[in-house]
Amino acid sequence: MATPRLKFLEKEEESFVHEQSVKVLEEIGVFIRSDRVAKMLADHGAKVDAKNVVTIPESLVDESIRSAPKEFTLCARDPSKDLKIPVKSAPFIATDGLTVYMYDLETGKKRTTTRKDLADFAKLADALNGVDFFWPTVTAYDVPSISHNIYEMWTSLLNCSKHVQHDSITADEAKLEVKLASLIVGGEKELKKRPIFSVVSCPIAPLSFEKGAVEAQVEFAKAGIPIASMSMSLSGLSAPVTMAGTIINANAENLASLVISQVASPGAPHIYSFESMPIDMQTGYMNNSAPELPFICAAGAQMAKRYGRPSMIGGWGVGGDTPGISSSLLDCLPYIMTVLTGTDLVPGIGALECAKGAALEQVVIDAYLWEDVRGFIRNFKFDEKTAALDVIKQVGHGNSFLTHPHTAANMRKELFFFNKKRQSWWATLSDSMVPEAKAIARKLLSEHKVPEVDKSIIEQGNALIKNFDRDSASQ
Amino acid sequence: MAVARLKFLDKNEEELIDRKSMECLETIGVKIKSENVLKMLDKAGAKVDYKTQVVKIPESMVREALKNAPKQMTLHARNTKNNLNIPVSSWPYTGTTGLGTYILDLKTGKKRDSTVKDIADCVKVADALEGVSYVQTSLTATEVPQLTHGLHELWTAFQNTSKHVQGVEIYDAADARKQIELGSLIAGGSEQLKKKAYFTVIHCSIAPLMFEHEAVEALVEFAKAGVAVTTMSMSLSGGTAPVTLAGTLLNANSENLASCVIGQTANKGARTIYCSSSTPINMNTGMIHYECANQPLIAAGLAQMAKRYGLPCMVGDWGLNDSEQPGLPHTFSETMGIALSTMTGTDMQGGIGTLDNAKGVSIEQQVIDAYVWENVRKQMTPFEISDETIALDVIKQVGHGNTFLSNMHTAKNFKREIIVRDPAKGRFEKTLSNAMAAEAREIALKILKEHVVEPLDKSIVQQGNDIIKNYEKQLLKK
Repeated sequence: MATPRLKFLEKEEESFVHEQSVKVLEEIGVFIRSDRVAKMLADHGAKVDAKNVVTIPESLVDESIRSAPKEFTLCARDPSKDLKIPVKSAPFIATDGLTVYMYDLETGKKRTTTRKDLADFAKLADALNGVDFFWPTVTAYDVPSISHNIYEMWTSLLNCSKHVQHDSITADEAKLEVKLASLIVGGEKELKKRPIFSVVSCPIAPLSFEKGAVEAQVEFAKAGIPIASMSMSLSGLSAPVTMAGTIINANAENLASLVISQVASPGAPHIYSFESMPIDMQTGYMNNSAPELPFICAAGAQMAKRYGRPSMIGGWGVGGDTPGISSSLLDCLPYIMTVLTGTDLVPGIGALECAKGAALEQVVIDAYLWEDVRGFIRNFKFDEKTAALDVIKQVGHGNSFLTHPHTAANMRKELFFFNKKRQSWWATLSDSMVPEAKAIARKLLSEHKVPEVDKSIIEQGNALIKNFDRDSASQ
Repeated sequence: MAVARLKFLDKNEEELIDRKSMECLETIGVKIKSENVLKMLDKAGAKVDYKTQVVKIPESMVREALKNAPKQMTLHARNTKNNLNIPVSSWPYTGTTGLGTYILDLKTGKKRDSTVKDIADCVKVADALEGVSYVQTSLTATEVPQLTHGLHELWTAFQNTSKHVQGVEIYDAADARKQIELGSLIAGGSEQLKKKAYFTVIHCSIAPLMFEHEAVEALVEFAKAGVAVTTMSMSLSGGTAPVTLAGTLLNANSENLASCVIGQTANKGARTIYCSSSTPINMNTGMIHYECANQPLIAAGLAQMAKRYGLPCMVGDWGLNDSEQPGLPHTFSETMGIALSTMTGTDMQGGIGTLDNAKGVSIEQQVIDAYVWENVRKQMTPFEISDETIALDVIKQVGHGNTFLSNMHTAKNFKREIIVRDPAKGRFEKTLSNAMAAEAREIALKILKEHVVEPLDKSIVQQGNDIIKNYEKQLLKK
């Protein structure tokens, strides 16, 4: 099936990234702040030094790539909403996660968020066709801060029948989340078969793993809960500023995380994941609309495919600081490109201000826009039937296909129709553009000098045309 | 070098299009309404039916033509600094538009018929704009004799830019010969023009699979004179091509191969650029639908076919406005399609300054399209992936969990590796629709009120709540 995909690396460059990543793991290693996990890796052939830097041999990386499942299902409370990955066309999209404020739907004012708000986001995500799985969108501030992850997870599962993806920062928390989900599916064995939630576990770039998170990861691997190893390699901050260096760092972290999961429980479901981008060199913040974002994402998706790993790369959501689309076309373009990379999962719906805030109306905007953008990521069948040589023959040279039955029979299948009603939302209504463009055009016309053509050549040319006109007229 | 490209077909699918195109040319053939060109192809080995004017082209002849067509070329400009080498390895060269029939007057903002002076103004502004790599002739000169308007347009363009010129009007063989004479004046003689393509022309086949008498004879003249011919197929899904995407690709590819055969038969080694402006028709209006979601997919498929044959190509499009007023009136998803078509690996694309489905032009639109393009094209910056850029040594130096910000490697490379957009140009593209947030709020309120989430069993909810409570107690004791 023909599917549009954004590619960045050539085959040799992919191989190079792999070789260099193995070198990173063999020579530089990863820093694992858990004695327990470091020891577990040592027992399987890794080397651990006195500072808990673990160097991983290539053989262990290869073995982990082999033992991890290439396909699995992110199950949902409602099985009709199960997500089978890898995808064949458009990725599955989630809301954004754990923002710290929201815009109140009634007052339009910023405020901190509660469990009730989270339930509203979950419910909305459950209802919208453009949302496939759920990240607990806002932080619950009305519960004890030591257990907010647990409450968020539970509230999400109760208020959304789609797959839930969350995180966890200690092994005890992880065990409890497994227990809660087991209640819903009817036991831990059932949960292993039907994981209704999965977990994002971020290594700390460059190349280190926090104690709580990595121990939680081991628990999840044992329970059959899929882990997304989200590398946040930020070019120029937590990774080299070069694109190649950023990609290697993120790839190496993903391979290390894969090894941890596979050593803990061979065959544990694992998702290759990047949330990597350059920092804004002026402010030091993550630059979500950096032009490099799609390159990094495309490279990540290519590496994931190379390893046969399902992937979660990039983000989807066009919110700025307030609900709506306040970014310029160009700021939005990188998001659009990231969803075309072949990634299987993408979070981000409903976020504002670089994932610090969220709004329910932004969830609607992002989800609706996504339904239209999906039109660009479809499969097309290429065979004798769709090639339609017989139809071309029947229609004949220079004639029209409009009235041929082949057109009516295939039109709905082959052509995508944007939702007209929603279209009016997306228009770019900048009112400064045209007057400014006019001023620039006037300035260029009065000031720009075009290098001149030799006068005699102009005359010869003019004469040629005049003669031709005369000859044509006298014919 | 690593560069971002939109790919669409897998290898088997490319092969299918190739195989079926050969079958199409061999069994259905193309209709060529010129006795001269039919004779030429007959002599070269094609099967010609003079009564129906249908030529069936054997595969061997197509393969031979593809072998002879040049794989690389330079499109020359009056100022050699503006020469264009194709194929490109990063972003495509982008040009202005052709043949609009009206201009929005820059002073009054009103529509009026376009003149030679307007063409001169459009071309002059294009000459100054960084985002424009070559010029088309923008507008129709409506005040000159109709038979020679193409000559006036080409000549005006030559005088008002030192960039490469692409002509869009071909009247007949005699007109082509005059265009060649004008080009020779710029090149410094007809022999020079043969060596250096100082202009290109766009030749349109008539989909499906037909060539008009005058245009195809002109194509032969241009091929002989060394002028690069851009062989544009306008295969409109559901109109002039099958509605299926595969069938549209097949039709456009077959027409390009037929054009290539005609050019190469006329003059072995003639410069040919594989070209398409294909997209579905709008099923409601029957008009050409450039903003359709299928357009970039068709462009990606055809760019892959052109690469397969080693031919430079022009399959993308960069016109951001099909309305009658300047600005960026299209919706997000429509504009996205246009942007995607530029990332397919196409070497050239026209469209800057166009309005109203190429019927009109405005100079301020030219500025808008060129400015947006300068920022968008940066997405196609090539990156070096090598031992040096991979920076294994730097990762080692920085160490686990530390920052690269203060490392010399960052300071030394960030200007090269991190693309910076022009914020002034970005500012005037902001999406300021104010309808969406209010309407979205209504929808969110309605869903919250009416949508019912499948509820969980009450006892399970209770058990879960208890688990959390006990865990908290346990944590607080610690």
